[in-house]
Amino acid sequence: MKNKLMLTGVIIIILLILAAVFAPKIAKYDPTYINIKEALLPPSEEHLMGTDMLGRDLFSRMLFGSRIALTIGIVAVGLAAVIGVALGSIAGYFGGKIDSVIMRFADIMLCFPAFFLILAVIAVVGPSIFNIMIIIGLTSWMGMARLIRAEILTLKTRDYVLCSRVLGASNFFIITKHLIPNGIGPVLVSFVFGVAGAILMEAGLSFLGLGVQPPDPSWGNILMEGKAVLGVGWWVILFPGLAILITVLAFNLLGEGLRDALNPRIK
Amino acid sequence: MLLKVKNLTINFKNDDGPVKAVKGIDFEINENEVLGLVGESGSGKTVTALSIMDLLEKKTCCVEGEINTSFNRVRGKNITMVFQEPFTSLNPVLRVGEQVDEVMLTHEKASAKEARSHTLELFRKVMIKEPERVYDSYPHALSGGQRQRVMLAMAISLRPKLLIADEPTTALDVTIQKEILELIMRLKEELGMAVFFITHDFDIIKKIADRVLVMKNGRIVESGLRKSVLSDPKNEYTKKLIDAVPSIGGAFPGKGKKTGEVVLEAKDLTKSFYLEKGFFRKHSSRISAVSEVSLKIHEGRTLGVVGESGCGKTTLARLLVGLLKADKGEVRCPEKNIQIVFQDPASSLDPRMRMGDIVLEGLTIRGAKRREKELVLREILFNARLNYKDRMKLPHEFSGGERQRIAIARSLAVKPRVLILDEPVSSLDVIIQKEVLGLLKDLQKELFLTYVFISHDLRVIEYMSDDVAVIENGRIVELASREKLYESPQHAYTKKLLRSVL
Repeated sequence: MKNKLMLTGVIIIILLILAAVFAPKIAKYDPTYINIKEALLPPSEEHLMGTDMLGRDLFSRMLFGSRIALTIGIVAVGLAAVIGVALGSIAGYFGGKIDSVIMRFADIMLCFPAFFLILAVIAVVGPSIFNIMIIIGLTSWMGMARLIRAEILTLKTRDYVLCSRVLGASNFFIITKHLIPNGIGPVLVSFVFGVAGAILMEAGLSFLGLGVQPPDPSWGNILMEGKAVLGVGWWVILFPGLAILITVLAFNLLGEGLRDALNPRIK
Repeated sequence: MLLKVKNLTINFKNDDGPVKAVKGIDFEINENEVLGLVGESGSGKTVTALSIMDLLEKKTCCVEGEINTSFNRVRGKNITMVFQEPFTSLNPVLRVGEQVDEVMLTHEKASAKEARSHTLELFRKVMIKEPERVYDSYPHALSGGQRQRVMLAMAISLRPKLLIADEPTTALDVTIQKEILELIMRLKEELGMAVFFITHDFDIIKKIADRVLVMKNGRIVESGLRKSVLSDPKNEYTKKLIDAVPSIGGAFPGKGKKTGEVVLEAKDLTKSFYLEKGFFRKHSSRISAVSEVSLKIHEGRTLGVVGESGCGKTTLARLLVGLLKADKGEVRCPEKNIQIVFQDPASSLDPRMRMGDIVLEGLTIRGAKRREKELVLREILFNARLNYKDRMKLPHEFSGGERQRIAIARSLAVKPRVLILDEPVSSLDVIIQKEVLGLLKDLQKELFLTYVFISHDLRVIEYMSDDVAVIENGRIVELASREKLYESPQHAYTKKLLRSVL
């Protein structure tokens, strides 16, 4: 049962990635081409998901929007994972003062409500896809740092680590060759959940107008534009909403499946 | 006849189909006898015991066959069990006295007062000193021997007809092991119960069993009276098992001379650990693990280091290889090339590395070239009797003995002159134990290695060592050549240790 759910998640994610990669091939229209004459057409064969208030083809915009959603999700959380794993493993391995300093810093970062911190920073540096990725990455590494630190605390006293030290291994060798490969499991799970979170975060920011800027399509800003025409064009808000829901669900299913697979005790 | 098992078969349900743990065995236990069941780990001993106790989960395993008893099979009353690890058998948040009371309270509906006095009497019966104090203690405050006594008190509470003892002394130190065995035998006489004793150690069987069953891969391969099995084993496997038990007097002299070059020397090594005493108490308590230990080891010889758990053996090993820094004193090793092999091969191999990479780790760290590594790998695997074809396998695909050989090969790949062996065979079954010890002996001759062999087992120490150091509470109390130590021990503690060997 669990496996089937995970498989569903994986299939959806693969379809999404294919859609994102081949967006220019699949899309019949330029996602930014404005044609006022065809504004707010309901879904039809010509326009699978209808058109928006400026007459742009919604299906094409959704396809290009998936590129942004996935890129931001994966790159931002990838950045978070790199920072988290690096800081967490250093803290866990060396312990003592280094550990205290790094983990207290993580605690402080966790004290800020992330969304508002991001809003504040965007207001200063200006919204762009690049900025959003960096900021989400810089504000969401703490959980992963804690996870890998906890793993490394138990792994570092294993005999194979002691053996490696007797053989003359450097700290860097031990951390990268023994500790991280053995302790990365929980981080991997957290990574997948994190991607879902980052996609939601980007949609939220774009919905507020602080994310991806028009005319570039993002699921969040399509949703925002749809809000204005809700009365006359339900499709403009339905499809991006569904896309966000399904994508986040797919990543969560994959994450849960991975978590169970890595922890045989839950079976 | 007290209990009769007929064609007992136990299957575990697994994802990949059923696993046969016990394959149709028959045996009986008579009144007031000790039946010993011997076998290696994984042979189905414990599962058999659990099925007699009716403790197997119906969901995951399928028990077939008949178990008939001449009495009513009430768990905890007529038939009781003592397990290997007394610490996990006791609830850590309840006082031990209360846990023993429970038996009286549930089976006899006794009042709390009656239960308490009954428990105290039981504690006296199992020779617990200060029964009142132990009654009010929590499990963690008791020693391993005391905990096993508490478990025994609980087991005999209602004068059972049959006591099943599953490796009850394996987790204990030798001196305590002997006391517990004697206690079980005395209780058996006093209470007139039968004992079904499960062990992997033929030495224990020699001492206590009336009849013996030998089990292998879920089948009973031999059974009979103790004397006839021991003096005239019919089955090949039984012969091998009896043969593999190291015994006092089975020395195996090494080649190194006493006059050889000194390859490792320790002078006044001292190491203490500090325990932080909570938030409010500032000063911490100091535990001295190793104090003023001096050693000198000549090339090609083996120094055995023997002592009970907690005596500082492992700390000494770590000081010698430099994993710990001594508070005082120094280790001198002219070539600076000492390696170590740990007790548990399962945790000393990285579960995600391939066998070849594990063995070559030391060379990788030193930045050796691919060609050189390839040559060393072939040579080392040959020396360690490992198959070159298996180099891409992961540790869990190997058996315990093979894993320990991989650990040994990893240490030897960097060509050390001194090898510290910290209980290298303690977690292995006897037959494999013998194999690994033989390999170590051969390697010593071929490569002219010097060993520091640490163990709690005097029999293994005698088999391996040229000189022996006896450690008690972090100090060397006696250091002598093997012959001298085993024939005329000087120190009282050495004598006690030697006496407790069965």
